[in-house]
Amino acid sequence: MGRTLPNSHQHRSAVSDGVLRAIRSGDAAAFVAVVEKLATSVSDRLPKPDGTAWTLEDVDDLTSEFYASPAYEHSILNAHDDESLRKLVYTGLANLVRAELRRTDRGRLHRRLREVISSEDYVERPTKFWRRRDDPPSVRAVAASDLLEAAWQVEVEVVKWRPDAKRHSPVAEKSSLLALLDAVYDQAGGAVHIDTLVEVIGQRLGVGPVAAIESLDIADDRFTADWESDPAEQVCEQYSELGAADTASVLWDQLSPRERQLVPHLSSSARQAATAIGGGKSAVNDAMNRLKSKFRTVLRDSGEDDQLMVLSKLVALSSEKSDS
Amino acid sequence: MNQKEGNGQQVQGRVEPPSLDALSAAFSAAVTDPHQGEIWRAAWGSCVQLVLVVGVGDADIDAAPVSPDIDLADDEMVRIDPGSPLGHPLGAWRGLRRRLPIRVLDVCIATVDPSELEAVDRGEGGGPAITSLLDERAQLWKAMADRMAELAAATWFPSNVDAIDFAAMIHQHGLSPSKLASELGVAPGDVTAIVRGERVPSSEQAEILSALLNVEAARLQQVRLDQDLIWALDRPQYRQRLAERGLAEGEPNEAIWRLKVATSELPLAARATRSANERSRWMGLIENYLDEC
Repeated sequence: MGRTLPNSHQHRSAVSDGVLRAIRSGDAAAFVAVVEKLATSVSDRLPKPDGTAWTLEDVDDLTSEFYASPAYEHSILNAHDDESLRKLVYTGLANLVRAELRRTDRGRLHRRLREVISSEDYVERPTKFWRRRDDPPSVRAVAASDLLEAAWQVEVEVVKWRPDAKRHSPVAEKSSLLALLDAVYDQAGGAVHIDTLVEVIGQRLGVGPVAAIESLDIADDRFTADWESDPAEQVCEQYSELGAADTASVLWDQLSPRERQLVPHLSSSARQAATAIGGGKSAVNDAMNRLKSKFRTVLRDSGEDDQLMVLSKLVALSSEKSDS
Repeated sequence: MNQKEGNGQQVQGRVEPPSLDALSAAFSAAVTDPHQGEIWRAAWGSCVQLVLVVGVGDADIDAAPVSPDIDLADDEMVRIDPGSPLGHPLGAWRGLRRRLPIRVLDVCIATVDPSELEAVDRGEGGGPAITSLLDERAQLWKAMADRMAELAAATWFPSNVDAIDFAAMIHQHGLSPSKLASELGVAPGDVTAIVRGERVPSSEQAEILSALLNVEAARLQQVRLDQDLIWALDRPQYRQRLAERGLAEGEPNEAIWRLKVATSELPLAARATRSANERSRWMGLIENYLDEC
């Protein structure tokens, strides 16, 4: 049993401008920070391929797999700014999960195909090589690409996913599977290995390989939540807000109790603040100015929107703490 | 999740992020003109596509897009293995070859073996043809085709210029360069540069001239650029420094900045120099201009 995955919120740190520039200058830590945050976003949005809940170790595994995949270098090469980098990294991570889900789907397709050909007039000889009873018994070397081309000539009906069948693969009707098998065997002219059948028919049914960083419109009900609108876009929108929340949290920890009292009153007059938290108007005014100056210094590299977002998060934190 | 082979390092069962040194070296290396067999990052605005240079022309290249999606090959995709800093094989999409203007080339990433380049030229390899729109590979193909089309159309200078004949118009209105210089508040030499088409009047100057010459201000700002200047400004070696200069001057749009440099900055300097080789002269002027930063 792995560690419990904490709220993704706790995983994220402040957004940094110029991340792409830093990464291209060799700052691996900057890239690791982006990948770790977005791996957590992916675990928040996509089902884990084995159907269990995501753990921290799973997210670590996902980031490790990302580093070992072409998405790693291609997200850096194809980005044109920080936002596009985050979109590409998100898509690269999400596509790794999709690829894993499809591997599971192909396992199910393997079983389904064996059921179908075992119940029909097919013979297995040699082991794992299947042919129609009337086909020549020889095993001929036919490229999988030729078989796939033949499979695409057939119209098939794919059984729709049931909304409650979240982790079952899309399965073509038996008649469609038989039509696909006929097309493949007409092209093959002999026995075909079961793994080749799975590869070819799997790709034909949309459970084939997934692109590295390209955001394709994958028709799969498991990803409905992820594809309501551009998921990478959504994640990037949340990215600034989550970064602001983390910055606010760090700032909050560094404030004195008196400063924390002042936070919700920073936009009020000194008189109003003094009335609300007690103390002389002049002393409160000085304390407010010191606090504003402190925030200006800490947030000097952030844009105006980001500054406002951090301050609103601080006010929200102040409200949460006073409620608790 | 399964772990794949790649450029990550296996450390105690976990893959640690690989070093970025090789990639960052590519981004910091001196840029030269492209050569056959090189893989470049082609970019214009927000459009980015890695391409294999199959052929090099005077101002453009013959390029095939490349992507790491070798498992999604169509019947014309050829697998290539460029090596460092790319840790994985690539697919060169021969069916999407296009001529791209050299101005879109940004960074040279890697080089492929001549035999691989020949294979791309011959179209060896490949997977099944894409015959259905339902095939997911069709989406990948279309996305790359769209990017190649956008890059092919990338430009920064107006193609249909309706430039006016300043000299004739000044004569027609009974004006002189010195009179115009006085009206515009500039030196007579600056007016001469405008008359010769070596310099574009600013918006304020165009408004004044518009009233004096009875012609639309917008037309006064159109200029036929020297083709050798365009050729020189489009050299990849100047791209990064030009863009940085634009950013420093508050213009992040490369196309707008390059037009401004071509119409406002370089022509003035050009008046003071002459060379038998116009391209060399422009390149020298660009170097001087960038060295001023």
